[in-house]
Amino acid sequence: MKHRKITIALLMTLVLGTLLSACGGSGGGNGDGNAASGGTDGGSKQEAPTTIKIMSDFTIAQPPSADNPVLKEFEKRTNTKLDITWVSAANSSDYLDRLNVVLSSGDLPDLLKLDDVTNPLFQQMVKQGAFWDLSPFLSSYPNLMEYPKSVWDNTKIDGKNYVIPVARPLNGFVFVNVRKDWLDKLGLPVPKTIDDFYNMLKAFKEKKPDGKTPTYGYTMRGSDVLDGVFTGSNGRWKDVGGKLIDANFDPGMRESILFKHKLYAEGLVPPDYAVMKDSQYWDMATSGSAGSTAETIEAQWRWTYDQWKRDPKVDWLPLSSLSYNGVPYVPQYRGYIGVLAIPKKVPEEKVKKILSLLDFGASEEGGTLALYGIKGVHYNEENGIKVTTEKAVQDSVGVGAFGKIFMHYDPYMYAFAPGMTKEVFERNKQVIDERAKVAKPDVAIGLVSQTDIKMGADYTKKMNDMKTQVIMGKAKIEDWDKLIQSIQNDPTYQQITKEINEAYQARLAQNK
Amino acid sequence: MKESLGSRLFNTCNYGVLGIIGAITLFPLYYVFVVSFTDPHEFADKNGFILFPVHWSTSAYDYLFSTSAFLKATGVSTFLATVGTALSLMVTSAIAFGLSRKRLRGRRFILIGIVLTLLFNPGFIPPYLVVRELGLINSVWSLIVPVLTSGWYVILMKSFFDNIPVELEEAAMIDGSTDLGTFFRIVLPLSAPALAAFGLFYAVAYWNTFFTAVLYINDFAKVPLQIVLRNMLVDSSTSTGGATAVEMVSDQQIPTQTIKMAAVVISTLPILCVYPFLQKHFTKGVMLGSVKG
Repeated sequence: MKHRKITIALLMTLVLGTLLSACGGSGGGNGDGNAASGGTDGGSKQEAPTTIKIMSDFTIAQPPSADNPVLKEFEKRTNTKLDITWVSAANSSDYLDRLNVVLSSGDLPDLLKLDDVTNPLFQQMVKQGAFWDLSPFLSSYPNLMEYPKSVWDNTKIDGKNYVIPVARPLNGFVFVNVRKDWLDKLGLPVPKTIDDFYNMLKAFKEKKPDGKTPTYGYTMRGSDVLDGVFTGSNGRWKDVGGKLIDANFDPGMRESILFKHKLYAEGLVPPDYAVMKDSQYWDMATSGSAGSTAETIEAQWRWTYDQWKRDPKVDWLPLSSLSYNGVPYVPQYRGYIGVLAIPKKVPEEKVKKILSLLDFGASEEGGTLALYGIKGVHYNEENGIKVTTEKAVQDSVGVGAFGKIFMHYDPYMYAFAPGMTKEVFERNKQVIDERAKVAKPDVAIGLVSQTDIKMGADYTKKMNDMKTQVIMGKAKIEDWDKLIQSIQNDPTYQQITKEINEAYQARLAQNK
Repeated sequence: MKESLGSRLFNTCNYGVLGIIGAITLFPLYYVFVVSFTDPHEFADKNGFILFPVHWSTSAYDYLFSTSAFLKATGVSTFLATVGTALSLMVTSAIAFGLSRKRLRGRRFILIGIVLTLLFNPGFIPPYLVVRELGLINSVWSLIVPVLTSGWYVILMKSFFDNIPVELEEAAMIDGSTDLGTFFRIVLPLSAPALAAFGLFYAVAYWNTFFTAVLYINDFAKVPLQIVLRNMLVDSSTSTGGATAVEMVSDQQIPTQTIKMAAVVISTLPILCVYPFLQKHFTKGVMLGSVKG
């Protein structure tokens, strides 16, 4: 009796096991037998296409499928076979988790998309020699070399290019936008200084140009950009005489908090701004309840376009800059949305093949293909402006998918969006030109402090919480001073500052 | 029998208060449902406060149903929720039944092994390696096999089976039933409440599969519904991440809130539909093990 029972139990496990593994077997595994070796022998025209495995993120509803026409076009033009694993980055931490799994399991594709060079696991693997140093190859890829030098410099590790950035324009990113039609209605000039800005908000609140209650001046979306206006620093670190200090310790930050407290106390910003979601900011801005918000130039246009259906007079103007104490400020974007790395296990011939694929993607032709698709199918040209078709959405053309890997550097990319009139496009280009003159780069892009990775988030959170409390009047500005004082004296924080500065000095020395 | 005035008064108050509490609990559901059918512009204009929409609109649903991925993903999720739940129940009840029989040797040892899985969480890299070595990457089964059973449910179910008298089993054996026969023909039918309760737990878990799919599935045609819904939500609100040009082609820009609500409706509706039918078992099922005899 007993024996029989055990046998049955064993049998059941076996049957179940084989059943499951049999089902699983069909799914994975294929695609390894590639034609990569075909590259070296002779210059025969009938070279077999190189299979390139890529892992990349995507941020649209549906990634391109394997038989996507744009993908096919890429393969045809570069003689490759692209095997792309698209991982949803709907929530950026999802992609990070997947990335960490891939990095630590050693299951690397031929080309790997990373969020940033500062990824700790990646840094460690680079030091172990798991990735190609691409610096010796790069000069032979002219389209890639068109990316701004700062972008290349900021993605170096120990002075070497282990990664190829996926470029984005430096200007046109999130900054304050205002309702130009409201300004005109009230006879106000476009604000240039932070005081003008304040007066404008006050006028918007008091005179209610849209007749709405409640009307606020500013949605407070991306209110950090105001901090930058006061501190003159883009991001957390500020270069003072060749040394980096935390911008929170800058006297300008204190001014900024007090300024925002004033806005809050006078009801110029929504009282629950601290807990509002992006969609709420947008709803507020697009329903005429607020006269200024923060947005990329391109995205702001989309909201405008939507508002036009109800009120064609709406006109959102992206500001070129705001100045404080006579110094104009507008932040500069870091210029890339991610980086691509090639693992060392890929043979050198194939590395060159991959680079030429990316170089094609960075050419005007390849960039257009990635962002707009095929002419006549995915877009049509109408007096110099590309008008996309429904097919473009179906085939996942655009920055949300192909644009995550391939990008032709175009400084005006953020100036344009579908449906835009020529006037708006030209004006946006002007704004971008203006911004380019004064834009502040983030000096600490790509710099790593190990201590900061481990302990830094705590400090940032403490300071942000305190800022919010002071702005909302729940704490005094003296409390902020005290907090700053204690963090400045904190040995761990001093260590973070020291490490960041070391990394900064090393970069300055290399880029001389 | 005639009720006294006091009793009637008490009943009225009772029903009144309970009714109000009921309405309060139902309101969020109602709100979600109504907003999902509201015209997006109306929603924006009213700053989100809507009791009854003036303009009904299915634009949020049209948007969600617009991709081919949606139907495929619903298929995947349904497959997970049905096949996965069936397999999970089978495995869980089989293990639990075995463990509940005192004549099984090494019972303690196995139980400790199961409890250990509850105490220590290895993170997601070891499971990934296991799934990869099993060749399940990019297969729907990778979403089922690693989560086939849960240690916690095995223990709960075991305590349920503990309450089935051994005498019943012995009687069956005398009548010539094998172990498997006893399991399928005697024990399982007696365990309907437990099966219903755990079935619902498993079904909800499978229906909500998200994270494992992010890790194990490469082919977008095989991802479950939650991923597709998530992507669509983000797609409709992408902005600062470097959105541009072709991402927004449709000239109907739908505020995200109504889409979110529609997604909530779609993703909870199946569970809401199943729930009433399982509820009578459910109350019995979750009580199991609470009375020691």
